[in-house]
Amino acid sequence: MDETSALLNVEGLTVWFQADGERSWAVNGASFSVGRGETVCIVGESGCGKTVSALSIMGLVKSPPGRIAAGKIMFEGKNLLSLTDEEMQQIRGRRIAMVFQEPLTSLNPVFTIGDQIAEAITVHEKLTPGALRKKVLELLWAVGIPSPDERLGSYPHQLSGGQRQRVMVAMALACEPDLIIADEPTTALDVTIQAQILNLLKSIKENRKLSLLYITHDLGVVASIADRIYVMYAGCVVEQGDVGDVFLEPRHPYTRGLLASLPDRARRGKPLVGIPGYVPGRFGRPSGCPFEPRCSEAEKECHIEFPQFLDWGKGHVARCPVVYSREKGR
Amino acid sequence: MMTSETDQDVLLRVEAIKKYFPVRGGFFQRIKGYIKAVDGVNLEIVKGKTLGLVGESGCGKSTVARLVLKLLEADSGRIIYNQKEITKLTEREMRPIRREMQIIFQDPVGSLNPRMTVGSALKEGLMLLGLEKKNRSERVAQLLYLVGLPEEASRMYPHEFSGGQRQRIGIARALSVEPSLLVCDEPISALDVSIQAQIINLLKDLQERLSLSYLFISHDLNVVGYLCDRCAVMYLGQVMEYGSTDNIFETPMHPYTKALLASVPAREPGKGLPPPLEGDVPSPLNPPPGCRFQGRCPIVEDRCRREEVHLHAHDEGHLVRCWKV
Repeated sequence: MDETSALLNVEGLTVWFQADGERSWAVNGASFSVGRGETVCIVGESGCGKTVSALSIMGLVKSPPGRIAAGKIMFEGKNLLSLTDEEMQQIRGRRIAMVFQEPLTSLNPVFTIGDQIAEAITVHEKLTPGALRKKVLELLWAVGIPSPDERLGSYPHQLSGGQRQRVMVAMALACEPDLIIADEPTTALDVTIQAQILNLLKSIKENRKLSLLYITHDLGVVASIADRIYVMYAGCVVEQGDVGDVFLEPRHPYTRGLLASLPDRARRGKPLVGIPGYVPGRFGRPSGCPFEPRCSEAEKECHIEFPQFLDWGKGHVARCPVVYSREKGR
Repeated sequence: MMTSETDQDVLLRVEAIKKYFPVRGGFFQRIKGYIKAVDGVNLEIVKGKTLGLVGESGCGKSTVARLVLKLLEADSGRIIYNQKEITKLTEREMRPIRREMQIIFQDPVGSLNPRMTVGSALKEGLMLLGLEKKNRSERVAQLLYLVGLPEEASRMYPHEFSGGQRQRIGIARALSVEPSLLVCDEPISALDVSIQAQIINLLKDLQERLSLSYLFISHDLNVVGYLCDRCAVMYLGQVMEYGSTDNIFETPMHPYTKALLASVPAREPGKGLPPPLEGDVPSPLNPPPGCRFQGRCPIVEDRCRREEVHLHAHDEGHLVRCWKV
């Protein structure tokens, strides 16, 4: 991906939280970019730093206890970390919008969904009441809410989980942003509803020429929507590349372990390979490879030196010298 | 009968079981209606095998689990455990059978006492089993070994463990009373992918070693396809399709089963998005007349909207609730 044409370019993002006098490193020098019109997925297990990365872009990391210790978040050539609160307000919601996992906690239970979508518009735009109502109806229609004029006066609890998530997407679209960050938007939904929301996001992205940064732990979802992916582990990006390359030829032992952990019919009767051990805590930063304690390929140096990205071609890079020296050139 | 299995092979049989929950409201808290959580479900768990119960939220799969264990009283229908009807047993008569049927939950923390060390939680089960005090510590160590936890774990408290380790403790606790049937209610849904694989491997391994039978409840079709021998697909309190895992996954007959399988995103890039099934799951308070699935069904006919549909055999041991197949 050409760095100059990227809409969003995060470089060396490092975020820690202060808890009980100890520093907990949530993100450890992660870099990633999203190009115009691209769908980029960040994949990883709980605590890998994917949500904190998204919140950092939105300027929503609470400080204290959180602190963005290093890094740059370049959006259209501007470093979002150096903006004032007012300047950030112009970006948040208007240029970059976010959809969260649990719509019920993001919607206000005592206001109708019509009011809430209207509020998302009026924060950034002054419209007459008639124009405002028309715009809200258009948005509800665009996200596939049946009979929008009746639904306008509904409260969040009167909608199903899938419809609430559609309302969240409508609010994200309210100011026609360039980038939507979706943080596990379908994790709480049933599979048939998940398929509806994924199709909705995809068609909206294509019709409105948006970019999508999609955060998930579900590798099936990643395979079906992503153009490029970043695999995160313990706050670091360990592998990145086009979705096809990473899925078909994973080059980091963690990515390989994740893909081998997935149960399905084809693997019936065979034990799942999986990854031994547990996801590490965030306290303390190992000097070597963060995955080394659970890695079956680990060698002596892995414990000492933090691995650099090694190039597998076509923008596919992975932080594992062991796999590289064994498999590259074969 | 649902299949050709002889009675000796069947550990648990559920026949036409129903559970309606009254919904109260208004001035005198009168009953306004009923949520038909489970509406005439038949199931059969074969000894040493795994029956999967799949469906979306609100389809009644967890209620079935609680009915089978008699944690909830069924309104009608029969539950037969080891050729003995247990539906009408009193709490006292039920007690020796409770030992044989155990459950593990999605969130093991909710079922572990935070002020009890893991060792003392496990010893409670052993006490109920009537194991002599001097032998209990040794058995605790065995149980921990069985589920892949270190011996020190017995002196630690639940909060000191990660999610995957806690689920191991939940499994050890269930196994402490030497059950024959283990009901697994979404046991891996809250866990990370790499940890899910560990727990699945553990459950498979324990089944072989201890010849356990599982009722495995899940919304994750990939896991069910991997782990189960037979499956029942539930929708709004009814079983829509029942058969071997091969039947269900390779030759699904019911339009709902087909839609459910098609909704699972493929793990190979380039296959695109799954086609969406229109509409939401209707409320179990007012299920539609006729077939429960008629509102979302792509091949619906007039008859489906009028007449109640029954499960009928499509093939040996493969049952479908649809006229059209």
